[in-house]
This record gives sequence, C-alpha cells and structure tokens, in this order.
Amino acid sequence: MKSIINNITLTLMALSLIACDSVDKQTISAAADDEEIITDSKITSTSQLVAPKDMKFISHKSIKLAVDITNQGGGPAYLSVYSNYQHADNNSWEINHDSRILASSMASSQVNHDFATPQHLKKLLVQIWFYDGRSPLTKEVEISHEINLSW
Amino acid sequence: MMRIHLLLLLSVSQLMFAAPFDTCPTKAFLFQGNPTIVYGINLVTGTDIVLQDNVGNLSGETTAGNVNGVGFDDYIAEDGTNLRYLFGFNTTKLKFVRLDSNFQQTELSVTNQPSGTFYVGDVYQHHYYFYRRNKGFYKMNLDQSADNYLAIETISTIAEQRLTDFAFHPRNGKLYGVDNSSGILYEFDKETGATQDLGSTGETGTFGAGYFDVNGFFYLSRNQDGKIFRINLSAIDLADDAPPYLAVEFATGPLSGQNDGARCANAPLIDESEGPSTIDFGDAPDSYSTSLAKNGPRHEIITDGPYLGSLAPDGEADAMLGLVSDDYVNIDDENGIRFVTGLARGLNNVVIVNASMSGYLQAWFDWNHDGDFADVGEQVFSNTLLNEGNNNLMVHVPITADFGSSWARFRFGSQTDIGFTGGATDGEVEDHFIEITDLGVSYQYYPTNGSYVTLAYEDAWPIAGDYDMNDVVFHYRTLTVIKDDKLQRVDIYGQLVAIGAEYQNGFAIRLPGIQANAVDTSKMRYRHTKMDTTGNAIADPVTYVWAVEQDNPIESSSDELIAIIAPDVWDLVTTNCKFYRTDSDCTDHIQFSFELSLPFTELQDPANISTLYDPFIFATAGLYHGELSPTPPGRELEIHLADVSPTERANSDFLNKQADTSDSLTGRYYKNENNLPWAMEVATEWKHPLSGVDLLKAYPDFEGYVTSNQALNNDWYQPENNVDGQIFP
Repeated sequence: MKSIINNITLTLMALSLIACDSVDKQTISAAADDEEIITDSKITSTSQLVAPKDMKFISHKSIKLAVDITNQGGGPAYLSVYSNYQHADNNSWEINHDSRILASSMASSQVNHDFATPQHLKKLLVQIWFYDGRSPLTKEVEISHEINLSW
Repeated sequence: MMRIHLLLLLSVSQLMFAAPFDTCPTKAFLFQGNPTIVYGINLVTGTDIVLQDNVGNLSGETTAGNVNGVGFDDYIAEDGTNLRYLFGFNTTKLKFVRLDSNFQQTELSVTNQPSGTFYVGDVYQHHYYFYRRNKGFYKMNLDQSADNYLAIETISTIAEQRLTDFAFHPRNGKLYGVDNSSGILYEFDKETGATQDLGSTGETGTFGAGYFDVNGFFYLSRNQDGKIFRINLSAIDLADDAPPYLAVEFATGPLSGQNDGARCANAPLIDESEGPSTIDFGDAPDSYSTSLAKNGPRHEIITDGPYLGSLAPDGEADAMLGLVSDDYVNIDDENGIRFVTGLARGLNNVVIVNASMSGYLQAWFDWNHDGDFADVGEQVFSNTLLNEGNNNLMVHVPITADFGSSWARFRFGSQTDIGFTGGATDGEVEDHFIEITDLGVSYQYYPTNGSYVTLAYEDAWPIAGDYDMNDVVFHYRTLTVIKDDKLQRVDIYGQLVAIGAEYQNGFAIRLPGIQANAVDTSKMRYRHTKMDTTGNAIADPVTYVWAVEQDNPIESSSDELIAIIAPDVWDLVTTNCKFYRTDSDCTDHIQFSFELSLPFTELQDPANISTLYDPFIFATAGLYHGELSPTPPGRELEIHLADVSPTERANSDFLNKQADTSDSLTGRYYKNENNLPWAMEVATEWKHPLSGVDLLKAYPDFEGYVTSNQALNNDWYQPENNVDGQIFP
C-alpha cells in the first residue's frame, strides 16, 4: 500500500530511469521530457484516461521459446517451465510445481513453443528431465519475447 | 452397624461423584487383561492409546481384576441428567460393575444374579444385556426409578453360539455377533433371544470386541492378530437388503489374548465437534474406494510421523471426493509427488517422491481409466523403501494405457502390505489427477497450473460504466493441450469472486473458431464445487461428493463452441448484502468454482489456440438490462474483452451505440471513444476495487500503465500497488 502522491513520484522516477534505457527510448524520452506527463495529477477518474488505440487491457505477453539439447546425447526428454522457484542452499532449485506454465515431451532435441506468461514476470525456470535417469538440465532465464536456450 | 453405614455412605458417595461421560465418544473402548487396561481405539485407522491402566478396586477387594462384557449406555434422563456410563462384568470378582468417565469401576447391587462368569455384554435403551454359551441370555434394567432396577431377568436359556462379544445395531435394536468357530453372523432378538443365521462373514477367530457406528457398520476386533474387520449392516433394516454380510479388513489395531470392546453406537466414526480430525483421506472419485463408507484409504496423522512432501497432511472428516485440486481443502498438502517427465506411454517416467522420513511406499495407477486400481499391473510400487527427502522413482507406463486424464494413488508410512483401501496407523495418502500422455503432446497453463488470473467486467455496456471493475469478477485459468502442434483439448477452471452489478448477468466461454460439435462429449468434464467460509469445498448433502458433475454446458443453439457456465451468476452464491464481495462490510467468502474440460474428437487448427479463449458475460434472460433495451435483451447482449467480437448469438444492433465505438470492419469491439474497455484481464488473483471506487483511485499506477502504452507500471495490479481502503480485502 502506498499513497497516490508517492505513486506519482515513483512513476515519474521510473519514467526518468527508463528514458535512459534502450527500450523504446525515443517514445519514453519524449514522454519524460514532456511536462504534460504531470497531467497524471489532473486525472481523477479512469474515464478521463485516453488509452492507445490498440490496447487490449489484457496482462499477459507471448513468448517464443526455442530449446536445443543436441549436445546432450539424444533420447526423449521432458521440458517444464516454472514461474515460482528459489535457489536452495545446496545449489539446487526448490520448485513450486504448482507454478508450471509449460510441460512438454521432447521427441527431438530441438523444440519450439509459443506460450503466454503474466506480463509482470521477469524470469522463468526451464528444466529438462530425461527418461533414462540422467540428471535434469535446469536454467533460469530472463523473460523476453524470444528465448533461445541450448545445452 | 456403624461399619455398614460407612460403607453405604462410601458407596453412595462414589456413585454420586463418579462423573459420567460428557459426550457420546467416537473412540471405541477396548478392555484388556487382568488387571484391566482400557484402550481408546480409533477404528478408522486402528491406532490406540491407553486411557486408563488402573480401573480401581471394587469395595472390599484388593485387586482390580478383569472387566469384560462392556457396553456403553448413551442415556440422558428425561430431566436432563447425564447418565452416560459404561457397564460390564468383572470376571475375576464375578460382580457387575459400572465405569465412569475416568474408567473407575463401581459394583452394582444386582439381584437374581446367575452363577458363573460372563464375557459378552452390551447396553441398549438403558438396559444391560449379557450372554454366555450353554447358559443363557439375560437383561438388567439400569433405570434407578424402576421397580426392577438392577434385577436380572432371563430372556432365554438357549444360548448356542460361540460368541466373545456382541453389539446392538443403533437403529433396529437387534444384537449381532459372529460365531468364532464358524464365522457365521447371528442376529439376536433382544426380547425373545431368538437367533437368525445370516450366513458366513468369511472370517473366523476370537472376535473379542464388537462395535457399531451410527451408520450401522459393525466392527470386529480379532484377538489373535489385532485386525479390525468391518461388516456392512447399514441397510439390514431395509426390506431389500440380503446376505452375504462379509467381513472386510478395515484396519489393524492392538492384539491381545483377552479383549472386550464397547462403543457409543450413536457416534460417527469421526466427529469433528470433538476437535479437528487427525485422519488423512484420499481425494479420488469414490469409484476408487475413497470414502470411509467404501473403506477408503486413510492414515492417522501422528506427530513427527511419516508423510509425503514438505507439509504434514491435514485431517479430514471424510474423503474429498473427486477434487482435482487440493486447493480447496485446508493447506495444500498434496505436495509429495512430482511427475517431472509427465507420464508418457511406453516409457520409463521419472516420478519424484518426497518423504519426510524413511518408510514404505505403495502406489497404483488407473491405466485403463475404468475407475479403479484393481486391474493387473495397476499397482506400480509395492513396499518400496523410501529414504528421507527426494526419491527419484521410475514408472513404466504401459504402451496399452489409455491416453488422457486418470488417477493415481500413493500411500506412504511405516506399515507394509497395505492395499489401496483400508486404514493405516500412520503416514499419508495422496491421490493425484494424472495425465497419461504421448511424446509430441504439450500442456500450456495460463497463468500456471496452480493459480488464477482475474477477469473483471463492467456490465452497463454499451452505456459507460463507473470503472469500479467489479460488476462481475471471476478467477480464471486455462490449460491448452497440444498434440502434434494441433489443439487437442482445452480445460478451464474458474471461481466467482464478486458481483457488484445492478443488472443480472450470465457467464460463458467461447472457444473462437471451434465448432460446438467438435467436442467429444463422452469424455467432457464439467463440475461445480461449492466452498465454505474458509475456502474449503463443501460436499453435496445427498451424494457426499465435493466436485459435482453438471449437465453439458455447451450451448446447443450456437454453431460455435460456447459453454454457458451460469445463465445468472447470482444463482451461484448467496449473501445477505446487496452485492457479493464488493463492500468492505460484506466480507462473504468465495463460494463457487468450476472446472470444464473440452476434449475434441479430432485435433483442431492451431490457429484456434488461445491464452484466454473468450470469457464473456451476457444479460440474464427475461430481466431488464439498461435503458437501451426496453425489453430484456437476454443472450443478445454480450460483453467481451476489448477487441473480441461478439458471438453469433449477440444482437449487433447494440454495437456502436451510446458510449461504445465498436467497428466490425476494423475488428474494434467493446471500447469507448477513449479506447477504454468494459472488461479486463489482470494476471493475478487480483484485489478488485470496492463498489463505486474508481479503478484509478484503487490502483493509481494504472494511469501510467495506460498512458505509457504499457511501457511502465506493468505490475500496476500487484498488492503492493493498491491503495489501502479502496479495494475489497
């Protein structure tokens, strides 16, 4: 919880920070430089907002995941993607298996998947198990529109 | 003379201050040995505790002796006086006794006492009945106001059955006992002593203790091996009930050479009014023999005892039948089994089983989806010794296993050789809803397999809403099953979170591009679950099933696939408030959830794969829904997410009216001139604004999110970004 004033302040700080980032720099810089952005404070209800024409008001984003395990000796495998996990003291991953986003068999060493994640997620854990008892392969990845992973 | 008076005073004093039992207890009492030790037996699991190791000496005696032939008198006098005591016979002292709630014995001053000793007795309607083979069948009135108080009457001198205990059925008032030599179940008429042979139970031995529960199940404890058997006499007082009445192994209790049992037959086996249950049950549908009535698997929860996963199980009064998710039952304790490679046919699949300590695992998989674990090859693990922590086990899925959803049962504890039914003295049972799959199949969960996103609707469309975004609010989750890059099945789960609407609305889901007749209705699953104040599932009062099967929800009048979850969401909940969960002083709990599985007869075009598909609300038939339509619009008025087209059932005349600026030519739908919607998807289990509270007032970051075209504040809906007091708690 926090106050509206704090929120606006943070929003302006975020605008300034992102102005220095590489993501869509031109647009954001223009917005940050524009004093009119402070019109935030003049808007008192949602009905006064003007949204971009194509905005869908959904909060997921699509991801293209490509996984290549060609160098792992072959054989069928199973791919899982999780959103809730943590690094345990013994250098292993403690995974909340109720946070599974994708589960898929891998009949070949290269697979591609298109799926969606909540837009606020920053990272995912990708794990591959083999059917022959080999130890699993696990990697944490930053979320981007396209993720290419290989082992 | 004085001495006699003192003894009388002492005796009266003992009777006066010996406290009766406060309740009709669920535990069975087992009396063993000389001097007698009293055990409390949990018949459900077979666990026992010592309740009393000293029943006291009778007046004038120096040792306690053996108390036997015990029965529980569940009697409250007309004036409300509690007279719940145990009655029995001290076989060492040859005296009839009463035992109080501390299991202290007091001699009864009976008259007409027959000679000899008695091991078989029970109490019914304030009378004590007792029996001895080749001697007779007797009764004694326990009513202190009666003329024949404690006067023994002979019912019959014919007593041919070799019994070591009998017990009264709580409903029909007849006695039942099993002949130790023949294993035949006998019924005794308490008025005449006449007996009826009800056939073999299939078991013999010294059945030293017999008990009933309130439902009419008869339990027998066998002295030699401690096994507790159950005979289903729950319908014996009904006309069409008939033998055989077989003794089914139910649990394993203590063994002894000298047993007698008593129980308050009016008590259920598990009564949570005595405190939370300490028994863990499975969750699979009852075709898998899951409920207590079907002798389902259950485990006594022992402090520091063995269990699966990181959390000790929580107790239940009975099985939660058919719940796909344990989300609805207290803590999420079904966490000990991980299917990390799925369950692919023809392959050795890895299953990680996490054990709290060393113990034995049994596991069954219903490979042919016939609703049981009894087929050849369905027990996959038998007495498999697990180590503490994660155990990576291999499960070979037969190539002949049926593809699709099924169930598996895992039982873990210190005991070996337990089956897929029956009680266990420790450990845990986990039933898991599983997917038997093939290579080339993938499962996409949104947002995950264990959480929801939120759908929030304004229902005034096409008139502008007030943007409190709570007219209809659902939690929502999708599972998309893809085989060979094509759509094979869609599962959708949801919960009704809030209704803040003046109008009444239905809720439906369209799968755009897919025809209604594409669904394999023989495998379709559609179930509703009601939940209580703590979010736990509530059983249907008739079927005792938690997740209740519903009729086919597919709209038959539409070509496209549309599932009607509810024609009026108000039918799904009850509240004393004007609205449901939108006012801070009306904190109703979430009461309704659904699960819908739509498997397709043939694989569908991958172009129809979607993250949300199309969840929408519509006007409830026959009810006013705003000034634009003087006659009730019903199904013709739909409200979808932004830029999602209405269905074939919608009336396009509502488009581009009032505040709506839909334009079918450009694919623009359900937006106003500021491009604002009437419906949103929020990627968490969102706290929606209170009634009348503008979204911006509750979530100020939403402004920057919109005005930056989603470049900023993409977590505007997270709990840390809401304003205290503006959201439903």
